[in-house]
Amino acid sequence: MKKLVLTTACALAVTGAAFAQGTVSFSTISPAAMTAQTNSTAYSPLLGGGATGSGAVGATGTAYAGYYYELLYTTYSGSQATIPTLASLLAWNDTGLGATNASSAGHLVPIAGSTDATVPWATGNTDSIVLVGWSADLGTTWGVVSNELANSTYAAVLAGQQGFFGVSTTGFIAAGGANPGATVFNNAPVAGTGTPIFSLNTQLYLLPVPEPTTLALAGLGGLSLLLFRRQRK
Amino acid sequence: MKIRQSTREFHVARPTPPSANPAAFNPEATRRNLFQNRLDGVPAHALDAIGSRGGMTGFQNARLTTFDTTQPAWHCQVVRQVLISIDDTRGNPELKQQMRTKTLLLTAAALLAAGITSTQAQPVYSQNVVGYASVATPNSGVNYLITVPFAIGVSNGANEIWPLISPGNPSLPDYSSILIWNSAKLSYTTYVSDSTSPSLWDDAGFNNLPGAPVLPVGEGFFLSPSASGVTNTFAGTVAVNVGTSNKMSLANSGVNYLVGCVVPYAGAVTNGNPATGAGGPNLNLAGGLPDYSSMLVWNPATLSYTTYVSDSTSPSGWDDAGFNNLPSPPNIAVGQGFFIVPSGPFTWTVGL
Repeated sequence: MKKLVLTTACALAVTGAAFAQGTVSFSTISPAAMTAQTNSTAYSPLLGGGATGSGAVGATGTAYAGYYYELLYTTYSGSQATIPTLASLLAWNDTGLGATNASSAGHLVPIAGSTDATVPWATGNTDSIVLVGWSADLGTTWGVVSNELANSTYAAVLAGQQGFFGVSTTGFIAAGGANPGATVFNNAPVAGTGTPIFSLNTQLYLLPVPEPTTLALAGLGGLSLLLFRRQRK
Repeated sequence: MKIRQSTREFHVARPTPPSANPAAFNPEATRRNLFQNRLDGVPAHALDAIGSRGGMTGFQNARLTTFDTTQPAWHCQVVRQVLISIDDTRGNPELKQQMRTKTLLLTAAALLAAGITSTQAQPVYSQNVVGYASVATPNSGVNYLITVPFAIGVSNGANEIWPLISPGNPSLPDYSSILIWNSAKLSYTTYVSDSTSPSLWDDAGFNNLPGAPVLPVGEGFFLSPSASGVTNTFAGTVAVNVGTSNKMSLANSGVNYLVGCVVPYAGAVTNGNPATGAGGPNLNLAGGLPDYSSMLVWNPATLSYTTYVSDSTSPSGWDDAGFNNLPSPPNIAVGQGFFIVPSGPFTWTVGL
């Protein structure tokens, strides 16, 4: 009997946690707090890093839907989170709140702009947040792009095109209980709700895609290995 | 500083026979002799609120101390406050003597003028401005984002803003609710109107409250009427005196402030003198609003906000949420509430 009661209580608690929703203010992504640039002078630090030896740095373009962004969250550890590796980034969760580039260079705009944006954590709870951004040639949803990054299939998707990917600085906010909720982007901490994302000129770095010549050499190497194996047989 | 106060009391004849419906009684003919304003159509309870308010502020004021439409005459009172002297002699006896002489002459002149004016029962003037606004909240159960545009009663309590018209007859339908924003907690506190409560208001659990919630001028709030066809008549004193400005501190960047204009201005939010705020809401960079501050305007039809972003590089001073320049700035109506989210410390100056 005790087991049944405990199981029910646990199930209810889990259900409650699963449906816990706080609110954040996602109607405006203030250029005073968050802007983005493409950087083709260096490869993404999370996917190889290093200089490419050429390229340029400049504000993201203004063609609508040329770039996509997604707000991710994870448990707040008590200090500002860091993202040292791709694996650590892929462990973050998706809030479901997305953005794209605005018609002004480097500016962002929520895709479904509204202030009644809810996040999957409870009112008053603090979680860490980060915004990831990528060029549209990688895909239009974080689900697709995160899979490409996790499985290193993005090179095939890009098919020789330049792809960009980057992350903002992290923040942490306590979700509100009504609309509009906690401010997601701001240039200063907000009393009572934490430290929003403040990430001017967020770098969307070039993804390290093997050059065609490199691919050819790799192919030759593979062929020679096969030939060598046949000769030994 | 010395102020002399003189009071004259008199009765005026009731202008029309007693009305069977006091709320529909129009006292305009007599009131015109007492107030220099035009308030046609203001309900009796609202006019009474003006009277009590008007008797408490300003140099010269008049009020109706008895406002009973069944009485054959109304008891009226003219309260005249005359500034006699400001001691600014800083301890100089010679200067003080000169000032005393001047003060005496000024006092005599002021008293003479006051006496003549009172005797003749001429209209009196006040530095403050009174008025009224009708704010429609037509649909039952819909949240409307509004603000009280006037100082009403003693404290702007919800029981003064929506008083009982008569026992059991509330001016706001029972079980209407208001939501007051807490910008620190990002939540609303709910109050429910209840004519059986001593304060006329309950908490969200329908428990009678000892005191009604206060709705200061300049604060926005949601009102959800419990019946259709509600029009709120807000009658009172403009919270800012003529020639002065109000400064509202919206100090914290990124905080959602739920506000209303402290002077009942309507029209483009960029109107107004940048320094004094006279003439309009004065919401632009020249008025001190930092670029990329947001304004959220509630749409009760879609139950969503429209976001505007201040941008001094835009011809209108404002962009839409996607930072596209708008050809004209957002407009507000009298009695409309809205959110301001400043991108830096902002002191909102509005004047009259």
